[in-house]
Amino acid sequence: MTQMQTMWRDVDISAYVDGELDQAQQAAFEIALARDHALQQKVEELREVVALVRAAPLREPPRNYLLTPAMVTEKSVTEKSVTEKPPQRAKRWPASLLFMRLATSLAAIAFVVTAGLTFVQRSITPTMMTEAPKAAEEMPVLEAPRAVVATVEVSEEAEVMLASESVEMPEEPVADEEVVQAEKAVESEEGVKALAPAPPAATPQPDAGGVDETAAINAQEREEAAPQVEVLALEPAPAAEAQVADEVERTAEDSAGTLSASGEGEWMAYDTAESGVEVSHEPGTVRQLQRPSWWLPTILGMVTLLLAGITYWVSRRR
Amino acid sequence: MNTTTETWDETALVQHAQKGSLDAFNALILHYQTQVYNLAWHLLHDAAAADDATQEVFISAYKGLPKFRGGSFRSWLLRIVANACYDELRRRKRRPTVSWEDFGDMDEEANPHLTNGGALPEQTIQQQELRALLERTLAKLPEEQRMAIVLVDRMGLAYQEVADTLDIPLGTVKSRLARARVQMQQLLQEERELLPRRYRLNSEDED
Repeated sequence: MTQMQTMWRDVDISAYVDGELDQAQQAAFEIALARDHALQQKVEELREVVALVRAAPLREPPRNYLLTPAMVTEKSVTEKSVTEKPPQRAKRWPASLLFMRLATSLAAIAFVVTAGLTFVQRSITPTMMTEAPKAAEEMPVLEAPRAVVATVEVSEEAEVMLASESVEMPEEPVADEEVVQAEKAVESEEGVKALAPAPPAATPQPDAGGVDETAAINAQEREEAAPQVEVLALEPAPAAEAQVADEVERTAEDSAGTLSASGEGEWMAYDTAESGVEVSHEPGTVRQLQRPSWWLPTILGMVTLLLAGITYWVSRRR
Repeated sequence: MNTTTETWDETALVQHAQKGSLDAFNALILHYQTQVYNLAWHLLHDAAAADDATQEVFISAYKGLPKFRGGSFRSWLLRIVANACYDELRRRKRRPTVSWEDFGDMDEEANPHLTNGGALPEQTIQQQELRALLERTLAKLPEEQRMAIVLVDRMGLAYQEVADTLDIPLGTVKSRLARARVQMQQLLQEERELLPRRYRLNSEDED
């Protein structure tokens, strides 16, 4: 009996209850069932369970599902969703969405940092000259003579080169005279004024003319002696003179313009590439020219907005 | 509905439907719509989703009739249901949604006054309680076992029909069904107090 108990498994009992055993198995099972009380109990319990499961009524469908010709000719929305395969897009989007989110975040960070730095720099830019009209007046005045001195020195070098080649002229007196004249111009405003209106007059013309005359005489003498030297000696002279004249003229014009503006009480802003200084339109205020501008934060902000929009669109599509 | 499908001329209706007769197919729909809807409900656990799935299954079945090569029409139809529901479940897994039924039993059968039937109100309530208990218990089973017991014990399919529907060997059907029944027996004994008295298992009364 024990052997029979172990012989029949749940699968066989279940199949027996449903009448799904073949004839041979059915006969053998019934013989065992007649002898085995435990098996009888098992079968009885299983029948109760099956009866219980079958006893409950099925759910009533909420409506009839009768078809109409229109329903079978048109492709329904749900059928489309079943037949179409969106997973490919779902696979493709996450990577791009991740990339877009990363790019947007980086652009936003760059925008915030740049905007913050620009704001801070603009707010704490030191005022070079504040509320000091006198100092502001002095500055262009001081700048102009320096330029003049510089140009004069250039012309001096050019003249000295010519002089040294042609005649052994005393260099120091000429240079001393020019420097003294420039210093005089620095010391007295009148001297500057004298330089300003007439740039060519601002250069030490009489002396320069004297030097030129001497150089010309010497060159003439040397021309007779050695014509090939003339080319070397005379060629730099016109170029150097023209350069000197141009620079002096420009410097004098600048000085004159500044002085006239200051004389009228209006402040004109001008750029000086070397000094990087601007004169503000506000009276008595001079600020640095290279203040940080807003163009970079603006561009970064626009890029951030663009990326954010694309990211939103991508996430919505997903 | 169970094993009496051969008493009516199902084969003739299927042939007419294959030739394009919508009326013949609608007759088949009226015969099988309860089983189709219940199988969809057992797989989806959502009345609205089961409703949609049932409608779509019948449309797909009508369009796929030329592919039907004979055999059990019910198995073929329920196979379409199972595939459609599995597709729906996969789609839900990708995009989880919350059903209204998660907030409670909100279908029309929750109110017994809305149901039609000649049964006494007490019997109707008892049957609804029993069905609710069974549905909860069946939901605890693994999906494979649940499909087997629903198709055999709730729908009344033969083993071979289940094998055709699920496309699995006959022995697999037997083993899945046996395991499902054993599990159901244990679960129902745990829920014994909730069962109507007339449905309580005798083995429990003896204890």
